[in-house]
Amino acid sequence: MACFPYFEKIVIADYQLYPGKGDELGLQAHFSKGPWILLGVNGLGKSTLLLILKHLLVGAVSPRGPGFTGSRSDLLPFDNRFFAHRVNDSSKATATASVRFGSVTLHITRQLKDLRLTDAYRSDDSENHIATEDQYREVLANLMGLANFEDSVRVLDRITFFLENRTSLIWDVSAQFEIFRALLAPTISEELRKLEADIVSNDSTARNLNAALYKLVSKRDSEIIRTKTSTETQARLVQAIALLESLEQQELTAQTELTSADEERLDRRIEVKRAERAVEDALQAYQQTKFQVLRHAFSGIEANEQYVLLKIIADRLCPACGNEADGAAHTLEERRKKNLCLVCGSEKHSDGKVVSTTGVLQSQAEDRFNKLEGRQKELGTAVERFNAALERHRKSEDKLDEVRRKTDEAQKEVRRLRAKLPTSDQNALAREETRIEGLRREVQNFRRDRELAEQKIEGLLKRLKRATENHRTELEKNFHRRVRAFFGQEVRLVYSARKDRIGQGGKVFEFPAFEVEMTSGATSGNFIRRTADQVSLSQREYLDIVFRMSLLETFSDRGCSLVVDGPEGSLDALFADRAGELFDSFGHRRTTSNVILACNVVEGGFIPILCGHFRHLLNAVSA
Amino acid sequence: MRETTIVSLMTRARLVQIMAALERNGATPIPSRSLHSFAFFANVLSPIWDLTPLDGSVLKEKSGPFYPALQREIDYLIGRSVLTVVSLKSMGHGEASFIEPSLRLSKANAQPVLEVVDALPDEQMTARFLDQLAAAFVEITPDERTDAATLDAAYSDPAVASGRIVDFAEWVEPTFGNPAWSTAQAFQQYMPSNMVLNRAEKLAMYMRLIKKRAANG
Repeated sequence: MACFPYFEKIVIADYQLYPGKGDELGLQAHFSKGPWILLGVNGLGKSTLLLILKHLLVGAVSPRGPGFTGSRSDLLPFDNRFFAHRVNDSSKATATASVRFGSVTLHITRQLKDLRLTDAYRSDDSENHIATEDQYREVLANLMGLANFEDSVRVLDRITFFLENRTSLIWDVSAQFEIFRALLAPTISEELRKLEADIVSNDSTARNLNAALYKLVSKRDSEIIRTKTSTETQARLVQAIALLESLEQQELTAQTELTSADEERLDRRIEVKRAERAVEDALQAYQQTKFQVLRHAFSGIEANEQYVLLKIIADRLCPACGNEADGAAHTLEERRKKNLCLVCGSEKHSDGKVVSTTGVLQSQAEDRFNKLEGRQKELGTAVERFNAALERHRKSEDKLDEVRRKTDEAQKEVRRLRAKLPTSDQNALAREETRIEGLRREVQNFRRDRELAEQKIEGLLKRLKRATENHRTELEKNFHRRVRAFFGQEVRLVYSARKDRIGQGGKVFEFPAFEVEMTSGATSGNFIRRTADQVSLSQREYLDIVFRMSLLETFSDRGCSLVVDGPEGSLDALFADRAGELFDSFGHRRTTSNVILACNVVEGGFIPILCGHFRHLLNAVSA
Repeated sequence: MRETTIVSLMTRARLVQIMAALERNGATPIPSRSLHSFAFFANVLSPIWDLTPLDGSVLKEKSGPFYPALQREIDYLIGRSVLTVVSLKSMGHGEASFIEPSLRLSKANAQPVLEVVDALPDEQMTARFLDQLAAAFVEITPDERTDAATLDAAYSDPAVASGRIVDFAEWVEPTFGNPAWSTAQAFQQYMPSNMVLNRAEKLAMYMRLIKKRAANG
């Protein structure tokens, strides 16, 4: 299991941004369990302090953005003079942090003028000081239980620290893949990354060569046409090549359109199935109320007839012939009210008691019937949308087929016209063909290499996917527990593997990923939110924060820290209180965890609620 | 009036065949939720017998598969006295409450339908498949039959979240895209080289696996 950092202490010395007070020079903070707030107005260095915490751990690097980046480095340089720029003189400034990973504490000291490592050691090996940055990186990865330093930086950037740049995780499926790869497959993480680089590199080289090949073929064609006397064939060849190029472009556009139509079709199918189920649920709930209302009236009637009569009253359809049965339903209702036999309408030979429906049941029946009607309308809308999506998908498929057919014809036409060129032209063509053929073989070789790497990576990706699926229930459960308390709407975290290619061409793989389903404020159905722009700013940020908390909870059984800059920024009054509860629950209720927040002085419940459990020792480090 | 489509007719005919198979194997009266569970197995396992499933997908729910279209046909056949409600039971609580009928086939009324359906060559194969399936299904304890479907390889696929669609034959290959089919085929690997499992044996072994999983909770 991975091990996330738990910040115990930070000491900053000789840095003008934190001069200290009286005899206590510099800044010292001991972060024990619970929520910690760095409180103050803008410009006092709250965000800088959180950044110092981060770069004490990772040094002068940042992770490259997620995605299949081939053989480029996963790390980008971070301006090592960043903290020096903030003050006039930082030549002697140092920062020291004590960070616990499970049972081991790592002590790190860096110069703030250039982020150089000046000292580091582990609490279980304090005699041996870590001498170089490379050694330090190895130790960090080792303590975090990850494959390498690159994965450590990714995990810190996407889970532990939620800072001003707001790098997203829940809204970025590529980042999710990299995080799951780091956390759940440390033994194969490096191999996965290498194969991914091979695929991207081979794919990219094959495409570049293909582009060169294409240019060579085009150049050869135009050269022949330019140098020879104009014939009808040559003129037609020019036209045919132009048409082929245009069709190939159209094919790409049609493919993109089909992918988008397919996604919409999948979503609409889910909506219809759910709407059908919702109608059935509403119908059954209504029948249940009816059953209670009618159970006295049904006395003496066989179960089969009871069920049929119930269906007539609830569905207002005759189950036998399928006709509308409003009249029959009305008659049955009248008989019930008068305590007559439901089947023949005659007086019952009973004890004379007239069973009347209570107001509560009557009102419940009306409510449920209204709900049923609402659900039926929603189903109608969902079916219309689904049919429209199917139609769009069908048209997109037809369009793609048509474009492909035309492309094939255009290719045939180009070949046919080339063959009709005069022999001297064909000889020249043959010489060019040799070069072209050589290039084609090279393209094939690179494609074959890509396919080999794809075969190898497939099994590893399956392992990673299975590992994620083994944890998904717990992750979803942890997410739901926290998110329920925060959002008024129903929000679900749903595992939904993403299908994607690693290169631009080649095989499609499945990558582990989660997405969010939310009930829209305007409608009652659940809608899948795949991108951050489909939700409000506060929802976007807090869903990400809750996701990170859930990951920390799911993948670590030891203490850990969550560091958030500006958690109050996007909140209104209602959500401010809930945000206070959210951070409090993470920092307070877990045995050895803390949250470190930097925020402005704000009114409302956020800060009092956040510190509610710690009022007796309010831990505000006033900046 | 509710429109009778070819799909609803096929579902109705399949339902009568299913109930007949369950009757022959002593699995009636059957609660309607267990009937949905059986219908699911009939769909997901029919590719083992090279039969086309009536429904190639179903909404994944914690309570097990439920087919609204099948439920409509159950109601219709009750109304036409082809199915008989033996008892009614109130299930669940509050908004989630429903009335569950226990059903059996009315032989006299179903016989003419069965004669017509069984006269169709491809439906004879379906009837044999359903018989084998019912014989295996009846081995599962009645209390566990409703939940048994949730243990199916396709339905319990951890890659499909609750509230999403279990697709085993609609937009995927009913064979290689269907985990239940793949599981049933995988039994062959454990057989001696001189023994080739037939489809009935694969079906029986698969349902025995489900029974075992159901019994172990």
